[in-house]
Amino acid sequence: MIEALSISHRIGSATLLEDVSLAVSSGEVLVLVGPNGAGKSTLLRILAGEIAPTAGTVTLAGRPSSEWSARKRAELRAVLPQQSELSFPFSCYEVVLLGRTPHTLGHESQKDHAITRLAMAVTDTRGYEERAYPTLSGGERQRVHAGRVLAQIWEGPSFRALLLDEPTASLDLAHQHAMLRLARRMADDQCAVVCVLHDLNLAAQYATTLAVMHRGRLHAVGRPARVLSPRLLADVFEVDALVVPHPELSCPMVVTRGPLERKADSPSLSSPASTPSNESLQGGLP
Amino acid sequence: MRVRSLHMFLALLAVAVAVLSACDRAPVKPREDTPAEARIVSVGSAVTETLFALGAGDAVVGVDTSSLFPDAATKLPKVGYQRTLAAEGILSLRPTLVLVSDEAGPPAVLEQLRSAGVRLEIVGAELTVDGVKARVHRIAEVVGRDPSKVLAELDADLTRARVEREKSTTHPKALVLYARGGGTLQVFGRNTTAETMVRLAGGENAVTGFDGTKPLTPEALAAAAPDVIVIPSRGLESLGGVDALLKVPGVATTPAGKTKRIVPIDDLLLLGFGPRTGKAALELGAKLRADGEGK
Amino acid sequence: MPATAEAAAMGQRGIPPRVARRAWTVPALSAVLLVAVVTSSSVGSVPISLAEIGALLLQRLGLATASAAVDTHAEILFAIRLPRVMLGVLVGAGLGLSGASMQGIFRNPLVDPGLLGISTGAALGAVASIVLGGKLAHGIPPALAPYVLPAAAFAGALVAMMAVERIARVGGRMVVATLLLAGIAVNALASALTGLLIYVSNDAQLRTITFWSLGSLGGATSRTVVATAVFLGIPLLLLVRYGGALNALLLGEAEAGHLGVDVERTKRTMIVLVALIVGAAVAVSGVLGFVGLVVPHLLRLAVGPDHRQLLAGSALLGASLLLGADAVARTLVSPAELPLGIVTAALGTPFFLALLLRERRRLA
Repeated sequence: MIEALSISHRIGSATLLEDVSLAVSSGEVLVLVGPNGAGKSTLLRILAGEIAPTAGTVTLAGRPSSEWSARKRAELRAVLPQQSELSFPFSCYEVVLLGRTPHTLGHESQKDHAITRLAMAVTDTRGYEERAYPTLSGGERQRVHAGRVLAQIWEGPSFRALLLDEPTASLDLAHQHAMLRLARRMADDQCAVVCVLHDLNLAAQYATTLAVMHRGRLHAVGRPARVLSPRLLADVFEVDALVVPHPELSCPMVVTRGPLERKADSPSLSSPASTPSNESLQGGLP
Repeated sequence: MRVRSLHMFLALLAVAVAVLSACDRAPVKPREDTPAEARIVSVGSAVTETLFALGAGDAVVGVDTSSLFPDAATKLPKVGYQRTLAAEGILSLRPTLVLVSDEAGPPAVLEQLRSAGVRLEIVGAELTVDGVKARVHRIAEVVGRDPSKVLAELDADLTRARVEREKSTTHPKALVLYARGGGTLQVFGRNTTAETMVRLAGGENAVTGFDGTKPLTPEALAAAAPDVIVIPSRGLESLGGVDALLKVPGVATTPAGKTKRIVPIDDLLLLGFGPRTGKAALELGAKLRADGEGK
Repeated sequence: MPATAEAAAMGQRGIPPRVARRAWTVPALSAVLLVAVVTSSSVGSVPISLAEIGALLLQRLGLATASAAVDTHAEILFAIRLPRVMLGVLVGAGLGLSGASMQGIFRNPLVDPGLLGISTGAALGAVASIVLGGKLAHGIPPALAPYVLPAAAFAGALVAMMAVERIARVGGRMVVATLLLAGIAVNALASALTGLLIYVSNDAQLRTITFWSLGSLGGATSRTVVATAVFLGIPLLLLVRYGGALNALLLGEAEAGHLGVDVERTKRTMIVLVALIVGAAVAVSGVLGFVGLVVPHLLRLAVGPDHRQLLAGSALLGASLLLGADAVARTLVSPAELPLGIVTAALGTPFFLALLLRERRRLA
């Protein structure tokens, strides 16, 4: 179980998060959705321990995460970032093997190698073992890192947490689903999974819990079918949309008509507040 | 095992270090017995010149790069620049004696030579006439030669130089330059070898503003207003000759520049302070005066 | 996922050859170093045969009686050559290891230990002792004279390190980009002060400075070896254990944190250890270019970027290569000696250019 208790985060005068509380238990896939700048990634990075919030605490398995040793934390919590900056010519196998770092003392056991191979198998990266990481495409890299993160918390106590920051961003459609199916399987294996997604339909299909963020606050939390509504989509995402049941699966689907028509005072794209010369130029347009 | 074997290696190294330092506590005594044949490595131009002047040249088996006189010395194996000697190279010449000037180093190498059991003698000298004589005495003593002939010759030359000096009515103000390479010139100030030589030769040092050497500046040149400029000949060559020196900013406007009184002199003769010091005073004196009368 | 029992049963078969082969890196390079140590103990202005070295060693350890060896050989071997070889091992290992560590910390394979300004700081200390030493020497007993310069150089390195570390720490965190800038600033300041000292130096001091800065292992005595073993050898042993942490750091600082690495402490400790090593190396041997840059590169081409092998391997290979270069320096113009820095730079520069060209082709 991973828990955020009254988290607030400010940088200067800007409030990025305001009093957010959230608990994700083993077996649960909580998907964080929200428009740009809503604070999803900030919340995920705070849960990941990358940044310290200005107020509030994060607990891992019931204890504040700062009370765990760095190594123990790494055995309990794995984080898949949007992208990594690895530029050294590691082979893919070595990158996945790096996930075993918290478990190894200097060098790996047979078990570590075995887990590495399994993690590569489930992320569809078998056959990449000898390939140099820098030669991979963005999507392939993302899958290799997914393998690394899975290898890190492949097995262990039931209070492991897996944090994924837009894991589908650079993947093709098939791999997007494969990735989220993996997240579900990790949850089935008693992990608590927190995942940031942009695609509401993917979110609706794979989330056990949907958390909608808006302007640094938690707007709604609950089962996708209960949370998603045309009203919420209008209020938070500013889209004109329908929510319909999936024809075959038991999850809702979001079908958009387009952006929400704004009120009269909203600025129009074709007339930016600008200099007279621009206005005269626009006067000449048909 | 991987990292551990490195540790093991370094542990072995540590043991070796310990053994070595144990050895170090019992320093090897220099061999006092006189072998059938003396083999001398000589470091420093004055030391080498003195050895050859004393007739011990045959025993010299190696010299440093500054030992350029006499010619016989230049044909011997070179052990490097006197301030960056290498112990092993010197030992490979199987010397019975390493005779070095007080400029020789680095100190650690001298330490190594001592600990290798070689007799090492450092012969320094005050840069005065008495210092030169003392050094001749000392070297003669170390190698077991009679210094009287060399000293007599030195005295004779110095006496002649003094006579010339006292006879002369002019005492030209001389500026001594040293070309450091790359076009930079150093000026010899007070309390330098060059000043001593200029005085022995009957001149005056034109520079009185500072001790030691300093880079040349046009203003310092103008302030010194030398009648004559003395420069070691190798340095003058590296500059590009007299014409190049006259083009150095400030030189042409000095009295010496106007009358083109530039005196090149052999580097070791001017700055070496070896047994030829008397001859150097004579030669420099003659040049200072001859040039002055020629114009 | 719960298939671990099956996974364990799969055994070693699935480990890629490069990963499996890597286990041999350190033993193989240890063997190379052993050969280098033995060979360079034997060659020099005075060649000493291996058999003779063995006999002399046994004799020195009291395990054999006096042998027929040439008497000066014992003195050359014990007073000069073995200390020099051991100093070469320590300095070469230190330079190789600190190069590999710096490249890892900066996540940039073209970084050199000189980047932090540590060597420039050490050089400033050394030059100061050469130029000002004469004036201060009166209070120093002659027996300590050989240690004045190394001590001054080491002190210079430590001051430079503290300055860099202080500047680079922003709100309790060491920012790598700031570290680089701090290194540049300290480099510039130390170079300027060194230039000032060179300006006021006399001709003889200038030549001493020039030769010192070209690097040499010639000053090795058993005392310097012992001192170096302490100031360089201990940091070396501590630093070599950071391979796993560096691997994680290569993914990025946040990811390293997620993998259980205490990133700030790791960076700070490693920088301090690197500085101690570089400072001690420059203090006893002058500036030896390119070893720290080239050695980790060479090794990365051969065994890949896993820093657990790379760190130990760079130490071993650095030691071997420096011994080789020193053997060249000692024998090429015998009985004089080439400055070691000239040899390492002359061997290293073409290699460095080849790497740059390769990199350029790859990016083109």
